[in-house]
Amino acid sequence: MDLVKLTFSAAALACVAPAAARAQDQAAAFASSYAAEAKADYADAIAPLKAIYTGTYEQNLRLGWLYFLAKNYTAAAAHYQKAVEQRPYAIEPKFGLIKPLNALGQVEKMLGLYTDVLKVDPQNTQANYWAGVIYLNRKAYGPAARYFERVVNLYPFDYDSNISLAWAYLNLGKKAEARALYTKALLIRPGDAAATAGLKRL
Amino acid sequence: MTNTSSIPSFFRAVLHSYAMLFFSQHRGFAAVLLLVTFSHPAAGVAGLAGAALAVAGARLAGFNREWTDAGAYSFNSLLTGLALASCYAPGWALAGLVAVGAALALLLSVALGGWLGGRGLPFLSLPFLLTTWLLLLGSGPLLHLAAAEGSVYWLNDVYAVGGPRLVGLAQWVADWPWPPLLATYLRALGAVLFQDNALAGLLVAGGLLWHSRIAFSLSGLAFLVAYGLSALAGPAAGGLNEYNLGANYLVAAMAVGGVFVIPSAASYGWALGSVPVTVLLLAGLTALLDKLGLPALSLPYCVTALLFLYVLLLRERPGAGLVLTPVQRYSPERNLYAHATDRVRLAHQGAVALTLPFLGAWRCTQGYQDGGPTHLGDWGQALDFAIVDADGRSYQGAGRSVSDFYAYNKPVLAPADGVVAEVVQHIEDNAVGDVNLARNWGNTVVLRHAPGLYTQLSHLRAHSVPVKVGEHVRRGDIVGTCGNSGRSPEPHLHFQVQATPYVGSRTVAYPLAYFVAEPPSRPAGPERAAGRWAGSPEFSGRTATHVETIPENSGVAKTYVEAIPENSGMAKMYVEAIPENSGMAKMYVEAIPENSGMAKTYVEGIPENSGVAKMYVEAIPENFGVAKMYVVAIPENSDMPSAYIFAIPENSGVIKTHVAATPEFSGMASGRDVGAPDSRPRPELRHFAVPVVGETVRPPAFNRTLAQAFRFPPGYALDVRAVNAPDAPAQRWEVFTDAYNLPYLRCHATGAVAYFGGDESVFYFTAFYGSEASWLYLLYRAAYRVPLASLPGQLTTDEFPLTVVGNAALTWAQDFLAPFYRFVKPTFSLAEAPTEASDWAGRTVRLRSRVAVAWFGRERETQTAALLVQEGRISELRVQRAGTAVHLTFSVAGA
Repeated sequence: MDLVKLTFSAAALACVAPAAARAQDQAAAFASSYAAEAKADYADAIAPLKAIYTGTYEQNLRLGWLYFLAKNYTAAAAHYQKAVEQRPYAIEPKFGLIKPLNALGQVEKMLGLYTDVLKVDPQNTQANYWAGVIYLNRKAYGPAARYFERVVNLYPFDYDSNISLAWAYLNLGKKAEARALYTKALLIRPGDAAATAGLKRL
Repeated sequence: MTNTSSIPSFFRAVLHSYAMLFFSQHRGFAAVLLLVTFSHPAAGVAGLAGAALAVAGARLAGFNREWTDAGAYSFNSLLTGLALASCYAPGWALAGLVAVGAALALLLSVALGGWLGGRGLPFLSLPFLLTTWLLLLGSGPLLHLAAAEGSVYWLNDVYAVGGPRLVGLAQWVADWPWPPLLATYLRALGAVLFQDNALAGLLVAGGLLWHSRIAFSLSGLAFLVAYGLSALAGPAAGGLNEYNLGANYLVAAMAVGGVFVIPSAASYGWALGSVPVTVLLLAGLTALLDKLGLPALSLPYCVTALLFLYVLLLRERPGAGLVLTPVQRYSPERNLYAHATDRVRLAHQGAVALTLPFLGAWRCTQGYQDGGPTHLGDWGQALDFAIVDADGRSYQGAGRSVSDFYAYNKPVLAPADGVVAEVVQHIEDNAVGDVNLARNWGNTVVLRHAPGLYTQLSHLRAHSVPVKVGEHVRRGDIVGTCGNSGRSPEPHLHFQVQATPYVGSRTVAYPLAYFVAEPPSRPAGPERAAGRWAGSPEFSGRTATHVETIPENSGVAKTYVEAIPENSGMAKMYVEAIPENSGMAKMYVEAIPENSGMAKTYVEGIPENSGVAKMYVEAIPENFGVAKMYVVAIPENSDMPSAYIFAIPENSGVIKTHVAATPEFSGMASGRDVGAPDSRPRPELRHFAVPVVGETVRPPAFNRTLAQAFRFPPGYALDVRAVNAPDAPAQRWEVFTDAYNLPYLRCHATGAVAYFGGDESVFYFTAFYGSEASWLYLLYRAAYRVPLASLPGQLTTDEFPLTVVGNAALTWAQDFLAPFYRFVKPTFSLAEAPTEASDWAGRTVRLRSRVAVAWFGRERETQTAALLVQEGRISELRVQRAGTAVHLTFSVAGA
């Protein structure tokens, strides 16, 4: 629906004379916003965008990011949420939204977003890994292992997913597999304390 | 065993190893399990190699072949292979370890089988546990094997095999939103094969259901109890979530509830009671073994199962509820059905057979605890016998002298082989009417037949005992003559069974092996009480009558009208009219109440001088759905022994009949309950029963033809041919005995086996194994029980195990309910057809038998058979079954 609306509004804009001028304003506003952001002056970065704000996906995404940097997490989440709704298939705004949600401690919503990402992109490493971490923190070792397994199968030499999957397996009683993974973690980071401690628990 | 069959038998044994993981011999289930193990190809190969090595080793070493072929020695090696491959990476080191592990597990299986088997206990997966622990502890310092990674990088394995499509499919299945409860159950089942995925569990569950409905329901119930317990204990309890341990609950419950104990409501309770114990053992043993660095694996299940079985073994008085499986048939259903029928049919097996202690026909004048004058309290299980004449008198003449009595001085026989334990014979006989209360038992002989089994024969004639204490006697030897000594007002024989050797010991209830009983002239007893004789005083309570109209000009002269008492529960009764000038003399009608379980009415008419010996009419009540009447007339000395008359009564107003004569031995003739209740009391052969008061009993006259034909000594063989394929090679059926000295018939062509048993008075089949398409199966069903005594017209009935029911849906439904309630009843009935007038012991005998399956009041005939026995052998068998007819001829091989 949104796409249809946008197409209509774009067509309408093209027909009207001030459209070109507005496009120029937006480009300028984005440029000045980037300049202010580089100086870590987030209020100045937000202001030009607010001035020309018409509610487009790009503006929402940008504002979400800048509000997040400005530590205004509620506003950040609100803009990202709009962006998510405007491009429902896109992964980009979902990962954006996760950041302020993380700061706000809304883990359930984060998990929902990761699963949404995985519906579109089942092999997404970030989403798989962090969904695994959320389940691991909840001591739900079965689902945690399922997500970590995907990461480990995609990145067999990745330390974080190896050690996390090892911990999940250990708690699931799959000791042989846990041993193999801890041993691998020690290859990646020789003498690693977590891996050594894990092996001792076996 | 020939060489040609040794290769398939090797693979069968390997396949059985898989089924044995669930105490099964079901090869379809085994194939499913084999397939599931190969979802980790390395583990699948290691398991298969372990099983194959163990079977080969057991055969080479000459261990018990029966156990080897059942996979009992190799399933632990299979488990060891699976476990090792899930611990260590594939390679030569693992291969070596699997070989060593398989060998060690085999040796431990044999050793533990000998040790625990001698105590009546199974060794379960203890060999696997010991082997795996030893290898885990020992291989670390010795081998430095790389840990298995296959199950971690399974997506890479799947990709290598089937590319992105297969990965997509595998992930789709793995991500299927199984309900958590179901997923946990399936993972627990899959864990028996070291598989941690719901799909593997689903396949195993399907296979388990295929193999046994009882085992499946036990696994589900045990899981629910375990799940409930873990919910009560809170999330910290763990255990259940650890997939590889959840299997312990399920397998332990299956073992103690359905496999090693006959399934029943009590066994289900016992199995579910085992779950909390397994929970405790699991927590405790896991903590303990963790200190040693060892996994608990299946130890909690083994400990629970052995504990729950061993305490049952140690009971002093084994109850009726929890019965340890006497013969393991590797299927809870088979165990249950065989037990349910054998408990009745074969209860006497191993018991000392006692026979009547006299010759000729005597009347039982006092029975077990029937309120008689002298058999009271601890002395209640005793029998008194006297000889009576047709008028019911026990004496001739005036009856004032003991010698007037028929029984006096008649020989008294030893009821079984034994040793004379006590003899009293100096007490003088009383005058008639006097009793000697000082010497209650009078002259007495006590015989010892077995430890704790004595018989006492009392009131013998003075100085009539020809045997001395310590002398051996054989069954039938004369041990005295009937007298009138002791508490005996007139000559009679007192017979009792007791556990101690003293005269006048307390009595023990103990049936007689066989005798022919003629009920008292007025019907009595449960089977007669249901049916009442037309015109008998019992019918005087009628309150309503149902009169059949007689069509005009129909030639019907008289009708006997039967009355149906109101509220009697009696089904409608059809009445046969007797045509004029038919010479029909009598017609008896018997009605059986519907809710008695025998919703049928039998009518019998015997025309005078009609040449028809007997006619049986069987009417089926209207609400039974079929309003037809069958009349079976059997003309004497005719090639056409039976005729059916189908009468369509009631609504037609006219009694239409048509007669369909069937040729002899068509297989149909036996279809009806030939020999159903008769107008006269008819002698019956009884097995392992106790005579009741009023009955006249006598030793059976054995039929030589039958006795010889059904003797089947080991080495005896029959060649069987189908009449429609006379040139085809004959099937050879040969008699063998197994390791327990039990005889069986084996068909060389099909490998089918039928176990049989019996004594002088009866032959019966006890079990059948093999293809139900084999001819031997036809004989198993046709001659399930054959009395060897000559009593033409007597109906012999028996009950089959439920395994003979062909209907899968019905059987499965019954299987689920079987431990609690059985509604499907396969029954067998057999009668000897009257064939020749002469009644000599060696005459040709025609037997007709019928197999029917009854459920919820419906009865469906599944097989009728006619068996011709002549010249001391089974000569012909005609079977009508499911629309097909089979006609077989027999000849004695090598004769």
